[in-house]
Amino acid sequence: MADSGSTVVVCMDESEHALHALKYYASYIHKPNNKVVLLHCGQYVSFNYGSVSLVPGNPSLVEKMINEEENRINTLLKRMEQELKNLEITNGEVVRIHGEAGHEVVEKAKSLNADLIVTGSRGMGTIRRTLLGSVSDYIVHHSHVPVLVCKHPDFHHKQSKEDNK
Amino acid sequence: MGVQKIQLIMAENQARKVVVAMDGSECANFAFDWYMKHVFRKGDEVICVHIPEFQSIVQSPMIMADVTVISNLYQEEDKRVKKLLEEIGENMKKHGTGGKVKSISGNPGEVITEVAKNENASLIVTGTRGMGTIRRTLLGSVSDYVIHHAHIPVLVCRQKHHHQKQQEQMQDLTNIVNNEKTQLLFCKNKDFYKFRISFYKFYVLSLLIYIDISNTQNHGLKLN
Repeated sequence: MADSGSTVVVCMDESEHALHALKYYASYIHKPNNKVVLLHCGQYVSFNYGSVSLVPGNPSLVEKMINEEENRINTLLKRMEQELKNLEITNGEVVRIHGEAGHEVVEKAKSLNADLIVTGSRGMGTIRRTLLGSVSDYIVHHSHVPVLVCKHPDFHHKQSKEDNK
Repeated sequence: MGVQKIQLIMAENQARKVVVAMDGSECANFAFDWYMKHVFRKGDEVICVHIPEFQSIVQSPMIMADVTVISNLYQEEDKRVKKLLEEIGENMKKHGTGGKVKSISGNPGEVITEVAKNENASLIVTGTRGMGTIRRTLLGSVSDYVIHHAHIPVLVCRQKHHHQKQQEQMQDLTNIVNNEKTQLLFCKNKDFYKFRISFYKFYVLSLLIYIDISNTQNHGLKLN
């Protein structure tokens, strides 16, 4: 069982936390014959806040916004591929998923027969997590396989200092 | 890119300490085995932490302050703990690692995070019982606490089939709700001590509020 590589799913977004989780995995836990799949849930950010009132008016404007979002997501995916090469993970790929982040990650991990899911964590407090939602929380409680939750050490200490004030 | 490579090589060669939370349950053993199979590296120091919970016995409201009963329960729990620690030690030898086994009493989540801090560990490994949201809020979840309070990565190992265990827990719960006295002491799953305690606390709190309200009403009549 240890000889054939296992499939590992890493949840990525554009934040530093996810990148730190990937680097931690690559340096401490990665074995050379593991297959690493980076999942990114591309979301159209600009549609959610701000210029919603402009959307129904002008179809060419909508098309422009969609193109911008697609470009942004594509550059992010290419950056992730570059990161995989930097960390010298040979059997890796970047996959884009659509839909609600937590739910889709768990479903994709099931379909890929993953053996481990790796996520970052923003270190939010209990109330923020309940109101804003937390993807890593969802994954930990709904996944069928072990989950590794990595925290970025700097951000955690900053948070606790703010709480003490 | 060169700097990243050097950092990675340094990280690989450092011996790291790993804290594994063990309580003798199937989930914890599964987590330990999974860690040894997939993540363990030679040179890792494994620290198994066991947290015996004596407070659940003392806080149970059904023990009518009988000293002999309490001391008997303590002795039984002591024996169970020693057996467990031996089992853990054997398990570690089976997998071929050295390491430490610690037994510290207290609040499980807090103990695990403190041990990780004191030992400068670089990873925590826990199992999980797969409880739903409501049970987690009422009974408390150690893995939840550890994830949100530890400052190092946490590996939560989940088993694929836990539906049978959930059914057993539901049966235990109905037993408690139906029969009062002796069922509690002989209950298989000690988590329901905690449920009982939180239930009683809520009951007492609601009683106090009722008493307060009734007092103010009397005051109103007296003034008239």
